[in-house]
Amino acid sequence: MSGLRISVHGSKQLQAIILAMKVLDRETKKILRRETKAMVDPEWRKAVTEHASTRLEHRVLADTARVRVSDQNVTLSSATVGRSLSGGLKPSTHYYLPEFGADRSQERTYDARSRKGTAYQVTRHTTRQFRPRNRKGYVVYPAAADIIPRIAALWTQTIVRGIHEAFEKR
Amino acid sequence: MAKGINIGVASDTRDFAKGIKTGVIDPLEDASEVLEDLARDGDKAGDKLERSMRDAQRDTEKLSDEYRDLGRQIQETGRKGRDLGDGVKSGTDKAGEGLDEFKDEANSTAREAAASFDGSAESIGDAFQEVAANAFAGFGPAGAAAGIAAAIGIGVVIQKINEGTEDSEAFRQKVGELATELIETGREGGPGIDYIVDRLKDLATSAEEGDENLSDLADAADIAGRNYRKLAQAYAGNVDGLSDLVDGEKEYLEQLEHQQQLIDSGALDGDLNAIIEKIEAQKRIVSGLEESEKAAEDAAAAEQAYAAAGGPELEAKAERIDTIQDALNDAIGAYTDFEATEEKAADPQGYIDAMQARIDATTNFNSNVNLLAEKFQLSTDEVQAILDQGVDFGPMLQSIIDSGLDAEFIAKIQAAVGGGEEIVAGANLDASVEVDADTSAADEAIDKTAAKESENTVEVKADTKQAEEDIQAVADGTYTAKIGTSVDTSAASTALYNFASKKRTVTLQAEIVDRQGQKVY
Repeated sequence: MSGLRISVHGSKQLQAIILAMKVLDRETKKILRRETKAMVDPEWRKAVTEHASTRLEHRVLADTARVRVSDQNVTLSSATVGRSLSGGLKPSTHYYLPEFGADRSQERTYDARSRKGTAYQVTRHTTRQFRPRNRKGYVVYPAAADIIPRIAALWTQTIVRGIHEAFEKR
Repeated sequence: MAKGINIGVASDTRDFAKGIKTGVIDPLEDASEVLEDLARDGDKAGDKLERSMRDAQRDTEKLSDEYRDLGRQIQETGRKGRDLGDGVKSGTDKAGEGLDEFKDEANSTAREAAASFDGSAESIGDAFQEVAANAFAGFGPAGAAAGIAAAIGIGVVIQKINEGTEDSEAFRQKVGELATELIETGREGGPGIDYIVDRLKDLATSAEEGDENLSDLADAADIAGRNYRKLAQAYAGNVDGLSDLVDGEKEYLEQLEHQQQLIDSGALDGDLNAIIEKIEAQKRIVSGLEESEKAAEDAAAAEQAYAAAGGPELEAKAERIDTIQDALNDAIGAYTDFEATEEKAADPQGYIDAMQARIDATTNFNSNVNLLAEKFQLSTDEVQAILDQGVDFGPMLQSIIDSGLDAEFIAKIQAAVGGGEEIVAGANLDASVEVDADTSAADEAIDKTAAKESENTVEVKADTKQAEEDIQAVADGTYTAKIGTSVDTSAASTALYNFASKKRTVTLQAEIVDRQGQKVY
């Protein structure tokens, strides 16, 4: 089992680019952030899309996959977008159901009314459509664990190449 | 709780930064070497780099306790030893003395860079200059030359910064903003009213120490008895009559100084302290104005350089390509429209035909605009104004041309482009519309666009072929077949993917309602 994030303490390359970003001027940093995003964003979207299998997972987790780039880090995100889907599900508030699953044996009893108008109570499994609980996640977290080394490599290369090019221009 | 899922690629970045600042972590001694290795390996090293990142990822989990301890140590030191951090700062503030020592440590250039994070611009520049010179030494002759050039380049920049006291970060930012404004509005002789209003608001609300600030200016103007309104606008970047204003204010300053001399020598009655106060205030006003004037000059020079480099043409071209490309993308993405209008969700040929119709409409629209641009010598702004109407405007444009009303239409467009300000200024719109034609650029742009378009048509066709197959697969296939589709499309482009998933909505809804639950596993 491999890990998820990469600690800066353990990677000289990451340390080097973070240090380098600290001393660059604002304009260069802006360009580098933009270029990094352009490199990393499609990779992340692709990774999440490949890990998503059901329609719900695609809608809630894959379609909302985004990347944010700062001077010190690259943040992979999903379901941070606040817009509701057509059925009313808001990915940002209920992302955990497709990602971490739910207690599938959960039953709820609620009032219903028959076509003739008689009130009665029904008991249903209300979370059967989700996968079983899994703390490690089903879509976004496995995708991140898979892709983070590659994204870190892309990020590093983009910064290094960018610095090199910035110097050549001057 | 944070919304959604956020995973940072690198962890412990804050600890790392803090650790360096407080001195718990030694900044990577060989940072420049690492960068150098990375740069030398270039793109070939992608796999190698990825592997080493994967190792680091594994280590992060294995060594999580150690890393946590390190983080705790850093935090504690940060709390206890603020003076240590200050020590680093004061050390770098004395960059002049410290620098010679730094230079002796041949292999720790990165340390210098790291140590000077919070130092002056000068110290950063000096340290970085060395990093630059060393970092590229490993490139062989060409690389060394680049490194040296970079180092020299930085040296020149630093020197420039030191030359004028005004050339501070804030000043450069001001010049940059003003230049951007000039480029964007394309106006000669000054920025637009919106810009000045924004800047005034900025000035009114900026409360940082040392910043120019409206209330300070108001005080100065009040004491010196000057027109605050004009001054404030000039500070905010209004260049109309700026040089006259500067001259006038300088003259007034001289008058005041003359008065002061007269009072001082007893030739004139008056309050000496009051006049000195006035002079001080007036000096502040004049220096602020001079800064504004210099900023305006620099910005104008930057704008001219931008124009001379062909910036506006490129920009106009890019904008046109965007507009046309948007229309083409719409053609691809118009499946929902098609579905709504045609009520034939699984009619591939019909869909492709509709797409082709849309592409044709775009081409036609573009060539009509091209025609008008040539006939009436339209400026790029005016061409863009027509293009902004969108492809849906195409049929109307065709009728306008067919009915011979094109001259009238163009006159209206020309009057409308940039008309707002003239109306306010009371200009007669019908009387003078300046036509600034640059058709050669426009022609070129359209030619390029046309060439691009044909490429796109090829792409679109390739896409639809794939899409056609997908539609067929969905229409004919069973549930299993659909899973296959989703796997295929995940590798394809996002656009195509969206397209494919839309299509699935249509076909699946009817037959899967009952099986929805099973689909989960």
